[in-house]
Amino acid sequence: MKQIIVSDPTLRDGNHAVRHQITKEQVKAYCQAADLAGIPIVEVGHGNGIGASSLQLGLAKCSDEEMLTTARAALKNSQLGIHMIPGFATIKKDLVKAIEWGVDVFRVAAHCTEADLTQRHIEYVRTQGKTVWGVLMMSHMVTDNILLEEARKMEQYGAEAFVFMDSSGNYLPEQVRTRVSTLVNGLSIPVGFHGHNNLGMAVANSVAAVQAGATVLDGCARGFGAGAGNTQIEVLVAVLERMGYKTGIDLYKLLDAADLAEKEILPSVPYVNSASIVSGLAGVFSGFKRPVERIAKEFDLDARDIFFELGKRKIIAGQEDYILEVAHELKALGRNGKDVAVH
Amino acid sequence: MEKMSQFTDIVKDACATSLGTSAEQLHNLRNSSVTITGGTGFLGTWLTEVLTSLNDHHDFGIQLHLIDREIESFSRISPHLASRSDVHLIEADVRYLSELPRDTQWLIHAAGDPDTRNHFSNPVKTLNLLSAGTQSVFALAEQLPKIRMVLNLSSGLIYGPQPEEMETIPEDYSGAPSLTGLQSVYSEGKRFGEMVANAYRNEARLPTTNVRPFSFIGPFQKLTSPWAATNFIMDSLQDRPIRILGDGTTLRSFMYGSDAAVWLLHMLSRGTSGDIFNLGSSESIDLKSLARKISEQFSNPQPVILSAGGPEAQKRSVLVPSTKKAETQLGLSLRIPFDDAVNMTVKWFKSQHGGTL
Repeated sequence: MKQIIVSDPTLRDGNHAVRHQITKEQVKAYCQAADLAGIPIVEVGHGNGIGASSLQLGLAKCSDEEMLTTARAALKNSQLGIHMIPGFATIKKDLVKAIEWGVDVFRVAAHCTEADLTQRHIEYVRTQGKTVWGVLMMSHMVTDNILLEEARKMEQYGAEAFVFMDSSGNYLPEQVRTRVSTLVNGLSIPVGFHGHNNLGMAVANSVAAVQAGATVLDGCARGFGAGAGNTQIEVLVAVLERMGYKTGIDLYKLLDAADLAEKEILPSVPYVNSASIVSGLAGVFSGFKRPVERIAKEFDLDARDIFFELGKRKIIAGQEDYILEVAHELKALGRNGKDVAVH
Repeated sequence: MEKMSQFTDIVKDACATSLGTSAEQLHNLRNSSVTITGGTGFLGTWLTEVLTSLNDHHDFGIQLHLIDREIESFSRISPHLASRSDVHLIEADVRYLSELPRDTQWLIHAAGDPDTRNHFSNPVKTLNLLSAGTQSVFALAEQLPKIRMVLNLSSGLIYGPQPEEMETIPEDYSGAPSLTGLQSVYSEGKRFGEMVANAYRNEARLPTTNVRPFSFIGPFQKLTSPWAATNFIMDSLQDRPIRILGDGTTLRSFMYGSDAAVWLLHMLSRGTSGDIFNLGSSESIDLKSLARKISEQFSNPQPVILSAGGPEAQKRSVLVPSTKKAETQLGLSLRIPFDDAVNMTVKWFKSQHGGTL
């Protein structure tokens, strides 16, 4: 029976959905429940990872230290993971401390064409004897072969697994299947997939990934995450078990953990709304949903038009300023919110 | 002070062992001037140790010029070499050199960054360093009035993947690296370097030798380098399990630094123009056994953990040179057995308080 490692970023990606306001008490409660359920890795932190709390990206309710030490104390068997994006986080400022706070798994992430930014960070974590994975975000923006080339860099730097993210929930299962096959055949390290649910495909895409050879999957309680949410972990684990894959997770206790998350952490369960569908189709980062909706309202524009235009321009996370620019230009073109975009 | 003495004694003893009774065979080097590009790297440092040992114990009277982009760490790690009057340090990038020391009779071109991580991050720069750097060095070597041999350090990687049925790769094997990915940036750069040497030998009648180094072990390696042996030593120094990707059956072979330097000096001073030699050990060892051997050197041996990888990780990779040509043509042999090499290497890193992390 094939073993799948399930990593749970509820307390990291979910932080996007509550503007990074997850509390220490919530971290403790969910970690205890996840630990009881036997989830292998629990990822904790600001939505954009360690060191990212800022006015620009959103100030977190808790410091990295508060979140990670609380999680560490609550996790007896599960490993503690973090997401880190070079630039937001640095080795001296963040990684050294994260090791002191007991983080086990370091997921070093970059935009899908910029793996070389992660060299020093991956090298550093490896020399400290910790587990380090390479993660590429917005992976739908490049071809299978380019993604493989970038992933190979991370493998060379010392990454012990590679995860690609469907940050805007754009993939369809067949695309995931061919992508994973390319990666599995071209890499020596395990391949993983992190899904988003903009088109309602997160679980289906994750299943396609394991069928093509992926052995690492991400999933969040109730799908708690940016935009339309992530792959729903309790559904994912149930489906994997039914298909004959082994996760080592106790389903009843996992369902308890998800119930707890819904009750104690989620202000509302993520669902696929109109903006999420458009963001998924346009291939724009799910986290743009709130600012796009706000700016659309200010300019009396249709948020959908803004999303599609951002997608055409291949705008990525960190380029939020373009939302305003696009809104200005659409306004100048005479879009008044009543036009229907046909794409 | 005691640590420093232990640190240099390990190296000096190794040089004496590797030289054995062969010093006199290197008589062509007496009272000559040797220049090494990339002179402060692993092989450059070992060459310096052996050449200064020839001066100290056999009155060779060699003047040594070391050219490198970065000499600060050399002065820090090997102050006993950096401060010598017969060792001259030149901080320069070989791509932009305007001249080589005029009195150079023997030139070893060893400049190049073998760190695979940098090849993937900076493929264009890597190619440029190898191509423009080698062309620059040979163009300047042609101008040297007393030059007797230019030894170009190529790479064992130029053969491409070693066929599974081939126990060791001989120099006349005509395999080549794949051109489909960045993994061949370094090896292709080195192939080009060999052709530069061949072209200068033909057109300028510059005496040249191409040497293809494989894997090494010993003091002066950086523990943070992405090599199996250094990774295993670092894990053991920090009392943590040794992790190997795949099933640990990958085969490599390791030559100790002082043996490599002595072999290079024989190839430089006794070879004939146009020679090609592999440089390394033909005694293979799988990575799992290597990890265990290294771990056993420590008072608290750590477990060796094999981590599952994809199908690529399960493929058995082999990279082991045939050294028959050097053995028969130059009468060379390994003077430091592998077990001693591991023992001395670990001892050296321990004496460095955890090594050059």
